[in-house]
Amino acid sequence: MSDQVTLTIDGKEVTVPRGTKVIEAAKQVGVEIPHFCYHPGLPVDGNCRMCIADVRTWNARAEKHFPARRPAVTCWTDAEENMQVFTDTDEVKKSRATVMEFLLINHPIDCPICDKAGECMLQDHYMQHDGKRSELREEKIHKPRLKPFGERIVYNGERCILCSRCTRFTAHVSKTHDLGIVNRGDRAVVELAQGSTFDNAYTDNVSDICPVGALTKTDFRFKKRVWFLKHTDSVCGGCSRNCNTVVDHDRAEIVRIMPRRRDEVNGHFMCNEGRDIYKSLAATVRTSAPISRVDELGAGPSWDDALAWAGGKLGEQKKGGKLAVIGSPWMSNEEALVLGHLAGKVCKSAWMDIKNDVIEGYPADDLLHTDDHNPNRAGVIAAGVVPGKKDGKDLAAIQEAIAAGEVEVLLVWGTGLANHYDSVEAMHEAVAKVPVVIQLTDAMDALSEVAQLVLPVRNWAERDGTWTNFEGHTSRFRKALRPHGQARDGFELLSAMCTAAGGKPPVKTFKDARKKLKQDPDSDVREVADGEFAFYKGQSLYRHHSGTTEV
Amino acid sequence: MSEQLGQNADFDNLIDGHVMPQPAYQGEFTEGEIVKYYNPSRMTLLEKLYVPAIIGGLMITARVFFTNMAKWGIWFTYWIRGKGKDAPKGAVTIYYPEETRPDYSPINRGKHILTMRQQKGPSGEALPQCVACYMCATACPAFCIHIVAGESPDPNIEKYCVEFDIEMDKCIFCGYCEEACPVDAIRLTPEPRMADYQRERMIYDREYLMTWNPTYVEDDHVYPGGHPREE
Ligand code: SF4
Ligand code: SF4
Ligand code: SF4
Ligand code: SF4
Repeated sequence: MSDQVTLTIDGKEVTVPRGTKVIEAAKQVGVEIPHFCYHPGLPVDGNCRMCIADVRTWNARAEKHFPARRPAVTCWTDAEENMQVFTDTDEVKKSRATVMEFLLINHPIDCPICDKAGECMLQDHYMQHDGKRSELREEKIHKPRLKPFGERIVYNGERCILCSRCTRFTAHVSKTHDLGIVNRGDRAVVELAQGSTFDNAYTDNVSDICPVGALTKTDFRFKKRVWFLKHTDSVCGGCSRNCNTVVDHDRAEIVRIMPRRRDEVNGHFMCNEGRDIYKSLAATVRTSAPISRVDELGAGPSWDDALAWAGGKLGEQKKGGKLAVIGSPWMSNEEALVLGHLAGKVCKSAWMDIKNDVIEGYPADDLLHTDDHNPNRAGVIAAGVVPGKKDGKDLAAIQEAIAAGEVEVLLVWGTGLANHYDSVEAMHEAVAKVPVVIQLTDAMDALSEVAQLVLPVRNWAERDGTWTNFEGHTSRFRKALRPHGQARDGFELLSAMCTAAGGKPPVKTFKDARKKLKQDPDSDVREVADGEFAFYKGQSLYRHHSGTTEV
Repeated sequence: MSEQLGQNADFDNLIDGHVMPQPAYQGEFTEGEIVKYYNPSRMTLLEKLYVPAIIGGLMITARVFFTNMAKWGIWFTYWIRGKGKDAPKGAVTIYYPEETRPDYSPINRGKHILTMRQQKGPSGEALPQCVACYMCATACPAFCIHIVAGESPDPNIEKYCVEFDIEMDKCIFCGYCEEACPVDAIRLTPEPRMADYQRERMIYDREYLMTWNPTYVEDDHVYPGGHPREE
């Protein structure tokens, strides 16, 4: 028996590995089979009966296809050799409409106040597969509404279509067994397990995978209608897993962060900490223009003056000896490439290392979250900011040299240098011994209070770049928001600093940097997430702004 | 689309979700700079001389005046024959705001109101009918409706509008908001008088939209608010 089977779906032939479900095989030839309970990231359940199709198996002995007695659920049917699948016969269409009708019997259809409206599979499928008026003449069954499931989720039993996605998620993915379906028939509801507080790190995923608006996030509840949101592909910086995300924003405000499917990085899900990261972003103190504490420049220098001064100070270090460079695991690979070049080729830095910008966060677990709360340590090292590159002179050596007064120029990217000292005061005391401290940062911290020159750069939501996770997979994040004030793109700024210091930047454009880093072209792939149907593409109020049409 | 350096020309042109034509000013917006958003003046020499334009304007005024007088003259010929009542008249000057036109249509689209629920909130306050679904804000072509949704004090209602602002000076009185509303929460009254001296006062908030006169009936027409017709 070969490992591959060939079958025909709506007249299109497809070859898939044995064991593939028909619904997945159909996706490969562009046939979309509607479904509610099936989710590629969860075990198959087959309870919603929406994905039925006319499936005809090949009988080798009789040498013909046997017509099926009844339509079969394609999410649970394995693809077989020579199988024939028809997804748009009249019988199938009628069955789907009937399934929809049953699902909507007791559904409240309170779309005006439902947060899922606009991205609700029930709405979508109703428009495509049903479209009838309700035949129900009795009062609808009422179930508990506004039922909190832990701190972050609110359950509305009336909207629930009992697809069991949420219970399967807690049983098989988060393995916390928090949710279960109790009672029978039209009294069935999802209940929190006795004694469960539903406070694990992955609770918000149940709201994403819920095909309807039964589980809403307290964080997003009533905040925005989804059709006002613009979606930008991004990457979570909460830990070194680099979960691929979609940043949903309206004007200058990020409203929520949703996971984006990327099988080799995060699969379908992400943790709650990553979803909340936009709050810390909004809470950072930022500077809109360069700040200087040297007399030649004055307090608020122009970018040109600041760059010329910084370039001059760095240019003095061409012979080497007295320059220390501290990179950050929040730099993008492209920025690290230029910083490594600036420190190693344009100037001769004596010390180089990466600091620990963020040291607090969710503890590591065996699902997604890692114990490094910074996104890109691996990528920054691979791109050329190697700790202790010069004779093993790493951060400890830098600290020693600073204390001994040997460092003349200290170039720091980002925040959190104080994490490596006992206290902020100790850091201030040590750094006071360095005549020139240049900080390039997207947020103000203790070092920005004393640095001779603070140059604002854009944060991850405001610039393009790539991060590489601890397993070596590169993911691309894109510009979602307008830059704050005069903050400049880190890649461009470091290239300008190379020129100002009398050297040449290693690459001319961002694209060249990506080429030079030999980046996996897959790094900005966008896999089709579950519930995204081509039929509804372009029906949102605004264009899908993910930049996927680019290279 | 450019691949470089976070440039996303596409996004920068999107304002409130609309693709806007590029303004004359194309730099980064920085503090302390004055952004020129008006069009440069493109007057011809004749216009710049001022006097010819004044004369042109007076000629228009005179033309309108004499046309009107001629219309009234024709009306006078009817009137002396006792047929003045049905004869076409010239223009009438109404001394607004002391006088107002009595003949606005009852379906004239004017000032908005928010309807209220019969049952009061827990502390006796009036609750708007609005469930903050944003349908009106979505339908509004002028993007002048701004809603902030919140948890309603009545758990059976669940969602309602905490803030509901209409920028009346942007509104084009298309009535789409009224059409879009699933719960008949927003209506346009025939009331046409909304002029004000301050721009800030042209933003009608939720409280103001809810202070409308109760519905009254006249000539079998239902008027939600507004003013009684003047005789
Ligand atoms: S779950 Fe879907 S169909 Fe049901 S009320 Fe919400 S948006 Fe409407
Ligand atoms: S709450 Fe949502 S995910 Fe859970 S069973 Fe109901 S519809 Fe399915
Ligand atoms: S009348 Fe038209 S322009 Fe005015 S608020 Fe309603 S939808 Fe907007
Ligand atoms: S459409 Fe009606 S219910 Fe919805 S937000 Fe507007 S006024 Fe409120």
